[in-house]
Amino acid sequence: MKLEVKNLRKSFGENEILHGISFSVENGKALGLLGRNGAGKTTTIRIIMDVFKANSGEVLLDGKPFVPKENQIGYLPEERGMYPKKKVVEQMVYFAGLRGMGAAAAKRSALKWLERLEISEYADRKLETLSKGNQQKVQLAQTLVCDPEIVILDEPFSGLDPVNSQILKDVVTELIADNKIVIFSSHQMSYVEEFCEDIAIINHGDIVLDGNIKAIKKEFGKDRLVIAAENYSLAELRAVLERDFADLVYIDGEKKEFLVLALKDGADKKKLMARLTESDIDILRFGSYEPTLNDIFVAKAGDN
Amino acid sequence: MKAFGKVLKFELSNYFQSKGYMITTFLVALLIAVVMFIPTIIQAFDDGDQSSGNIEIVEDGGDINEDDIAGEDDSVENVEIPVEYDEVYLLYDPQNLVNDFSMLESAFFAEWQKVSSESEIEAKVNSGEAEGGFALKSEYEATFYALQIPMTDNRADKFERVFVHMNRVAAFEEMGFDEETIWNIDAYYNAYMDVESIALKKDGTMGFVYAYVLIFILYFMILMYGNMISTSVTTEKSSRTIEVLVTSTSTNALLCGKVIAGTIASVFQTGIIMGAGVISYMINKPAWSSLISIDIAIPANLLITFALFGTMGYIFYALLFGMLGALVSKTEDISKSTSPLLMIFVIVFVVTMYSLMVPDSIWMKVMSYLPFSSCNAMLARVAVGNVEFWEVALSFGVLVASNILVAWIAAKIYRMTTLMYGNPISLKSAFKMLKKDKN
Repeated sequence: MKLEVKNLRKSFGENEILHGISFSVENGKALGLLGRNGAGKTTTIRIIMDVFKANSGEVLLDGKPFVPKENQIGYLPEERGMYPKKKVVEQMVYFAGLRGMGAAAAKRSALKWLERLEISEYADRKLETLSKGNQQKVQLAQTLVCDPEIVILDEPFSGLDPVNSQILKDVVTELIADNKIVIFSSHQMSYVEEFCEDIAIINHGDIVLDGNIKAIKKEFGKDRLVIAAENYSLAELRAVLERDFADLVYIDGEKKEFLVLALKDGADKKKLMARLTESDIDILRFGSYEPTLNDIFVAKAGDN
Repeated sequence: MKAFGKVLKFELSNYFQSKGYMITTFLVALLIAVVMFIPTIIQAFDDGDQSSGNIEIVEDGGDINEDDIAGEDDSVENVEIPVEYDEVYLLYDPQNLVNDFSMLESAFFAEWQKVSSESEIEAKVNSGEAEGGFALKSEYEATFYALQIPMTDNRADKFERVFVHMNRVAAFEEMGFDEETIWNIDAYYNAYMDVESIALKKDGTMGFVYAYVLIFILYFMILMYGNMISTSVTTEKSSRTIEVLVTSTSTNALLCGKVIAGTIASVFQTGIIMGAGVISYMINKPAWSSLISIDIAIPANLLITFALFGTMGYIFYALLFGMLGALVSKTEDISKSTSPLLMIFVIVFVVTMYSLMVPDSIWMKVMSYLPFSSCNAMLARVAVGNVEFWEVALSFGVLVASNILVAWIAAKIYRMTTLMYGNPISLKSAFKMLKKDKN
């Protein structure tokens, strides 16, 4: 299965929010939709779910127009909402029923998911009596109750403590292992990094970067090196490098424990190493730079 | 259709599991049943008193066996008792029509004096010398003066009765009957008679009552439950459940399921309450008979019309209430959104009620075809007017078609306004958006 989003455009009034969003995701993989607040993640997801109509562009499943209601989809909307005054299991069975599941199977599945998310003791409680985190988990259980083929989670980690986040991470990992298509939006890079093979970064309604996370990292770290010295502080090291090595590198960034260097045209790692050994710099750390997703995100979606 | 069933079942369970709803239903039903039992209970306690009351009346009436004839006002024959009266009544009688005050005195239990002008009556009544006064302009015309005439005042009636009676007695006496004979004849022939009217085609009076009652039932239901139905739609927007719902199933099923569930719940509640009322009235009918006596025998054609037009008309309004509920996202905004519709319905109701007297007017005919008013107007026409079968069928067709149209539009609006939170959307702008959506 392959879900493709092609060139989505969406305007609200005169304001174009999405300027042609495209990405694709296959089963057994998770796609992280990254972006800052207001970038257009939720709007994109709502168009996929047919909550909004796009002004142009299309969503395809295996090459055919995608109709959400004809597929078993687990959708966790950004605006969480269930019936506050109904019992947890009762409303889960109702939601499953609306998606075509029989009552008995729905109840079994509901209890299974409540168990899996460690909230089975609340099955017969009214939703409003649960803590916010537990309501969030009920919502997630409700999303998955129909054993969906496609799982779309809009900001699934918001409002979860580290323990619950871990449970959710495990669940998502299982979904991926179960060969489902998983799309989720987030601005918490660490989670995305852990189990997404692919990402798409949306900024101001445009895809600014997408593809395999490893490839992106490799590309982003290409010709970049890290360096730290025993005998110089980072500031001193920066001064030395800018003075003596300006023909080979420039300083691309400063992290807590090292500087990031970028090789200039014509320079390479070997040349730099030769020059470094000749210098008085007592090297503490030297190697290729592996950017974090956060670095990439800030670089791509930051204000400059 | 399957989704509709599921929504309907779920929404119904919301009502029937709600303590507030169930308690209200049965408490009101109980209350009504208790009220219906009150006359029976009072009678049970009053048995002793009532028998002595009867004896009194028989004494007053002399030979008369029928207890109803001689009310206290008719005790005009007790003329012999010499009494000092506290009150004074005046009579201006330029044609000298009254010569003997005895009957008036005993009827009013007051002294009567003749005066020489109407203005004298006014002056004396104003000064407090007299309680009141009559100016007898002719045998058929009189004016009554008093400082205050409360709603329950019966002095003018009393005067009329005594005066007419005196004239009768005088006329009979001229023919040679004495007063006692006249009294006896009167008493004998004044016995009440129950006349039952059977209208072979249409009973105007009862039809009128039935139409009145049935239209009232519909009126109260829409007034009471309209906002409840709007609320059930709005709640899902305010709890943000709507996004999960519209991505899970068809909006037609969602909206119609909710509206029909609200309809069933309100019909159930009304049915239980009215059923309790009718059944307990039937049980206590003998005790009520002295106050009101209703034989509930609504003609079949009227009942069928009520069942069809009542249901469809109610659903028509319920759908509109559901649609208006979709326009707001906070339950506290509902009344703002629904009040124009309520206004329309109240106007329709009032106009129908006033037009019940003229059921065959053009106005009523027009109203009986409009979906907003046909549930009332057609009911009225069937009950008291002349209406052909095809007219009823056509009107019903229009109503059903309107329901389908409104359901369709309402579902569209419900879907379109899914994620519109904040200020209530006006119906006008909703239609504009719908139009734009299509293009």
